[in-house]
Amino acid sequence: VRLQLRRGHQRLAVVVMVAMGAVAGEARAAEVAAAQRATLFLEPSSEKGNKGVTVFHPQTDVSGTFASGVGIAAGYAVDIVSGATPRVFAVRNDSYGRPMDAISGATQFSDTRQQVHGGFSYTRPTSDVAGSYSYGWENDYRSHAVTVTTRSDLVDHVFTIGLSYTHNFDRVCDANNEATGGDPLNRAALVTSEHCFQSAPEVTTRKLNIDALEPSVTWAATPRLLLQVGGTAQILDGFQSNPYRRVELGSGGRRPQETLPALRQRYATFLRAAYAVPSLRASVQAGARLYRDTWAVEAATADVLVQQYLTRFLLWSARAHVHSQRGASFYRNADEYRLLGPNGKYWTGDRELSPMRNYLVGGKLAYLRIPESGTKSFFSEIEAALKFEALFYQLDSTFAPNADRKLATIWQLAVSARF
Amino acid sequence: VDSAWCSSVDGRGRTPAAPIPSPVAGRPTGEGAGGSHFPSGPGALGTLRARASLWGLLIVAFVAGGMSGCRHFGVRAHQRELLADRIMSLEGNVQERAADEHVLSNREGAVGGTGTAGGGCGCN
Repeated sequence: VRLQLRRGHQRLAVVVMVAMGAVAGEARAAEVAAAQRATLFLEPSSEKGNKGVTVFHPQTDVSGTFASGVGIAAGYAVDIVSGATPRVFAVRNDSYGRPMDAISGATQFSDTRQQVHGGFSYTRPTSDVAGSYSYGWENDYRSHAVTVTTRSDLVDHVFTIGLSYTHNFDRVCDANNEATGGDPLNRAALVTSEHCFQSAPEVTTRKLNIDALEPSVTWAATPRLLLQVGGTAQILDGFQSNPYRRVELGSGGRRPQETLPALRQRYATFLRAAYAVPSLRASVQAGARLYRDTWAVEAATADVLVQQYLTRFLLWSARAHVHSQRGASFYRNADEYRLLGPNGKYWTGDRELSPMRNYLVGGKLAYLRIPESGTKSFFSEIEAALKFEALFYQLDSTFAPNADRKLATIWQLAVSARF
Repeated sequence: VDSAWCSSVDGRGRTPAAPIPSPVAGRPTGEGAGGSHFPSGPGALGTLRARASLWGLLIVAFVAGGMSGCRHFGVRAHQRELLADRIMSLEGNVQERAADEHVLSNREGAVGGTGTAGGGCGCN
């Protein structure tokens, strides 16, 4: 037995040495990429004394690609959120007692959401497959996500078929409402995340599972034109409410916790195109998306991106994005909830479930440093970019959620390099 | 067997002379590969609702094209210089796209259709 073990160890040692040699050989042929990006999201409130919401979102990603086509990647991202959000969606009256708008008197908060992810890829001349895992956590939320992506080129690389599948195993902290006997009108909202995920009696953990499938087909239609069509099918099953939010229903002043259906199926289809304009050293990309889900939210989205080389080292781009959507079937604004009560057994104060339009415009300036062909350099590419965008919200009523926040500005600074 | 349409693209049956970039590949890698393939000489600076049947027809057209044995349906290798440029990538910079989607997915009621998937309650 000892001899067998020794032989086993010897085989193992040989395998390890061969593997190490292969990795060492691979390492010499490796290309390493690193990217750092910081995004600052500012959404001020028009209300006096309300700071709105600020999100600082730094990201770091590193990846390595070996000559055999094997690649590895890892990254870390943080959301540092601070500001104030309304915990009760209700009508505010003016000094004469007349309905004025939705309450924006907000609760101060700050939270940090962190995410780590890692993955691998294997690339062949006409296909590739990749897998990744990410873990995100904050005081009141835990998220495990697994993604598998595959892509194949067909007909001399003229068509590319892509397929991506993601499953999320998420957990949400909620107030323990066992004592309410299941009556949603008596549900209390979560007050603090202090005891979340600690088996405290006043809180409980709710599940949310998400499955998403994303097929796409890309066609190199002409030497200047790329076309892509695809879609997304996503199923969410579990707790999807904001556990902190309450909604005022009727004139009696009842303010139960927001209640949303446990199941949501979301479908989107899109068509995108990229067209090269070599005379201007530019390209124009345009895309349209149609969306519908089982909560009766219907949306249409259009995007345009123009990019142009100013010099060999300078690249600028401009982007516009328009989004229009109908509200969920159970959505009502704060005044309607007060006058009419809920529309069925669900109620929400979520702006993203209300009828709305968003307009985004912005631009980016990037500096590129790429060695001339044939010259030796320790890097293969360095890029630094600064981006600014403004996002305008158009809601249908002053009684809509977050009606006091009419725009957001987004700043982004990025540095990346390939070696 | 090339159809007449295919032959009109390039009927000479050229052999690809260079590595062929995927139409949806991210940034090209390797020395100098990220540079502009656009000309740089003097003067160079210079219904919201579609029918579902249209999407079906497009997909059928794609699949039919792939199944027809039409080997040169579309663009040849030597015609891909512009398509391989970074500014023609439909996926763009992966990190930048993730950041952009992160912002919009928490501010709009629709998701998907962009090649990214994720979760999170976006409670704040």
